Amino acid sequence: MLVALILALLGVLLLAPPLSTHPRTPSLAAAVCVGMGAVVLSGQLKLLDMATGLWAQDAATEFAQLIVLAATLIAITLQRDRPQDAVAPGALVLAAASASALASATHALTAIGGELALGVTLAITLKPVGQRINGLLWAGGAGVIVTAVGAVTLGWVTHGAGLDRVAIDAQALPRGPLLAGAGILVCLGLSPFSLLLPGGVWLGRSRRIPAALLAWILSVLPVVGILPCWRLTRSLHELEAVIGGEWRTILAAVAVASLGVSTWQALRQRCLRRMWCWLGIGNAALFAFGLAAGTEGARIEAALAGHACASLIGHSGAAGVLTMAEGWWGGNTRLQRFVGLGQRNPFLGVSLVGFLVLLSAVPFTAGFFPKLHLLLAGMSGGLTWLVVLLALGLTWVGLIGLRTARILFHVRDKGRPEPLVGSPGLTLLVGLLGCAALALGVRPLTVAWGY
Amino acid sequence: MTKQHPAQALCARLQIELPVVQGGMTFGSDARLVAAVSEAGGLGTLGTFHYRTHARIVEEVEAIRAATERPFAVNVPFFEQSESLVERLALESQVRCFALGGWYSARVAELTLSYESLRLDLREFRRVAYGSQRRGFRWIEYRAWIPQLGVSYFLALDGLGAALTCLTQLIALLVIGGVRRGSDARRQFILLLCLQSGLLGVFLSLDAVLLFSFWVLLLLPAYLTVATGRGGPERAGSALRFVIPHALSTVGLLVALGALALHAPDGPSFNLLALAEVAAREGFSPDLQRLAFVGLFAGCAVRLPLVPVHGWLGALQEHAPAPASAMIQGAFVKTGVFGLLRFTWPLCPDVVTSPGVVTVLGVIAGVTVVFAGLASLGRRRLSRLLTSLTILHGGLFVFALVSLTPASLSGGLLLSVTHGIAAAGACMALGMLRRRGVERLPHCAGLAHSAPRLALVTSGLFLTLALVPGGGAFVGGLLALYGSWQSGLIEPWVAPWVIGGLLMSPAAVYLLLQRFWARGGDLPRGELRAAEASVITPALVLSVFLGLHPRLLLDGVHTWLHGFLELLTA
Repeated sequence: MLVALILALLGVLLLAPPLSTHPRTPSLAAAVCVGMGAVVLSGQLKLLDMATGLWAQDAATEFAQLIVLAATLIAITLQRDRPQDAVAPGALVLAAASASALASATHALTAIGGELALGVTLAITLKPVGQRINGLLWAGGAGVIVTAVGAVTLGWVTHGAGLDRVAIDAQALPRGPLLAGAGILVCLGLSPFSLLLPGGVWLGRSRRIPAALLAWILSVLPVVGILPCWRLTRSLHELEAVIGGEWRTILAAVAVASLGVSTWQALRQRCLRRMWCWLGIGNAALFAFGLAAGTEGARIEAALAGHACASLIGHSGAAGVLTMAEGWWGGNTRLQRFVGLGQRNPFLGVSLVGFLVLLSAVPFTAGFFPKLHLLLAGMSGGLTWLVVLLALGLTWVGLIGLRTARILFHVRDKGRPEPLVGSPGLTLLVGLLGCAALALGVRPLTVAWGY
Repeated sequence: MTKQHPAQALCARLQIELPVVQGGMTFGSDARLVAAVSEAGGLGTLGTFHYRTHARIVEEVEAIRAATERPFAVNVPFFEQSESLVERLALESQVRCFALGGWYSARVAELTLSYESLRLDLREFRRVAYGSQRRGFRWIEYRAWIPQLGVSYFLALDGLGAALTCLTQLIALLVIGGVRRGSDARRQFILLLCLQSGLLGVFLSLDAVLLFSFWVLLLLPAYLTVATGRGGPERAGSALRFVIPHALSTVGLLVALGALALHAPDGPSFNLLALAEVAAREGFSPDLQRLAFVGLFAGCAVRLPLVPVHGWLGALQEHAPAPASAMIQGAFVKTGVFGLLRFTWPLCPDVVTSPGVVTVLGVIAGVTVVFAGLASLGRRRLSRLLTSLTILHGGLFVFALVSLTPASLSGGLLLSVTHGIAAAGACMALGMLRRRGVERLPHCAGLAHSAPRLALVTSGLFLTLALVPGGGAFVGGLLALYGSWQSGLIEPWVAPWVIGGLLMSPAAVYLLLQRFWARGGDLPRGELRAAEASVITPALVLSVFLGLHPRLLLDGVHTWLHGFLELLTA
């Protein structure tokens, strides 16, 4: 919450004139900041602490906030090369603050509050770039309403709505916690911020979100959106003897279906940015699968953390190349434009292929070991057939990456094409992210996965 | 760079300060002396011969640990219970250094190879592993990689790996020599080298995750070299048809290996040797073995390729650039052979020796051979003829494998290696013919008169592939059939079909030769140039040489072969 508070204050400072480039947003943003600050302060001072607590600053929250910070910094860096598409840094920082607040929510009410704040700040962030936000608002509104219903049920059953306290009164109401837990799990899981389908369809249908902002959304939202679910599943694990393990199968099936549909959508796209967007939505489903696959005996936190790192690297790196491509071709990122990129700028061609295949489980990249860990956890948890389907989905993601590689490395028969020169700063960023992807692929333990 | 003094190297190796190693000194050493020597910077060594029980030795080791945190060794002379003592001290007391008094055994080698928790540096036991008659591994490199998942960096070379590694290197040499200069030559070089590295990784890996990683990674350069090279007009489509079945088959492979690893008795382990030991001694459950066998066999069957998952090869051969198809037909398909021998058979011993599965596999092999033989007779394109011969070899290899006799396995391996060399040469020869406008059988008319050397070498390569006497494939095929007959595992009615299928391929090649030597070719074709000859002639010479001197290969795989059979019959 401290990080959220600092980010919120920073957002206000950056939005205040004359730093702001968007005159209509400061007042609303300032109101959100003040509101968030109040909530944060109340949490710090335990003013609104109901029986179960509202926020937690545990290792998971810290990790999520680190991801948020890194993604925000990278997005701001990427935006420097596309000032015409840039959103106000303050709005982005505010969105980061909301995301941090959501990550630390341990109560259904604070989760709803975090979702509301994130929805509003995302709307503020997206509106100036011309993105229609109706889908987000509808999806967000519906998500918040069903989450609230789930929270009320949870509160009724457990005399409080703490996400990690569902076990209370389990014996008295053996089906109650299942209903409440599964209800809120699905509600949170399908909210627009975990990017599971159908809740995440608003992002797949988006057309104008710049690459830098898209990378931020794809890296941050699944992590912070799934954290309340993760807290809930920890208490559901303790209850499995009472409520059974059906919820795990349901959640895993939703995740696999989400991956399958989004991968199918990605295959249909002719625009690289939208294809990547759908691939990112599919990749986000692995967080939910991880929640379902993890058990008390086989913890998957390390795998989820590794997956979050891999997503951040992959999405940010791809955004770096796409931002340069938007600069070369006036915002046009249709696949046909990329024919021969591997010949015109081999480094960026190889990098883009690397970041795309990183989203599948290609070995020696950051995405491999976390996914392997998730698949093994699923198999040891009895989800073998869903694991097979998930592996097939990931294979399909890899094939899409290969198809893109063929386009990028297609040889033009007519002479030698003109080389494309990328921005030095972005090229350096892409190179660093590529090195990080390889380092995490080869040494997942020593670099960032020490558990 | 200055060379390190041996004493310094010893100190660094044993993590001691002074190059002083105390002798075991039976009756003369105890915990106090050992701890004192270690504290002084040397390597204290505990003699054990005078202790009557293992429990007493363990107590003494604990006393040393209580007195010092520095390294020390335990001297274990050879007596009846030495192996179990080493095992207990290593596993329970975490002793890292042993003075084995001049004796080694297969059990100590197994300990170092099987138990990752030992963290023993395998370099210390290289001599042991090398001397192990049953395994015969050399150049062992072992590091724990992801201990939580049971994944290790484990590379070693045995007879099987050595044969296929040499084959890969040889083919890579020929193929890279045959890449045409042009705008995309550099990229082709890079992709072919990546493909070669991936193949070597597969053939050297003894950890399932490492092997799987290389297995999957191979697909990227293979796909790109086909899809973006200067091949036929439909190369992109054929590359896609190539990569889709391979990628899908890796799912089965991953699930099978993961399921077996999760059922290892000491927690998850992807160590292939340890898993094979478990399969041979304790055995995985029948259901698990069946599930694993389906996944593993499917993964390898696509690579070989066997009927009905052979479709990718024809399109690829027709449209891929010659170097890419040579690398794929010569070495890439051998990963299927390797997979069957390295993990499919050893990890599912009960399944592969059950009569029902043997019959089914025999039928699959028979159908593959007959199909390929018939298809070779009906081919009108040279590339398709070569494809049929490759499929035929895959079927015959499986036929040899299910028989599980030394003769059939030797024959199968000889067949595979010879096929790899000859097929790579034939692919390069077809590329040369394609550049001369010869792609279909009718175009071959009179080739022997306009380009006699090219016709001669091409004929030789195709004859070798068709198992005509004189080539290594003939000897391999003969051994395979003899071994199958010897084993009696295959149903008697399968063998005639296989032999019938085998006889069709020479017929198809004779028809080709007839075209070569016939009159009536109307196009002047260029003769084989020196650079071209340097690519395909060595392939012909080697494949014939293996037929004349098969022991060159068979002696090299002898140790591995006996270890393999012993493991399956344990």
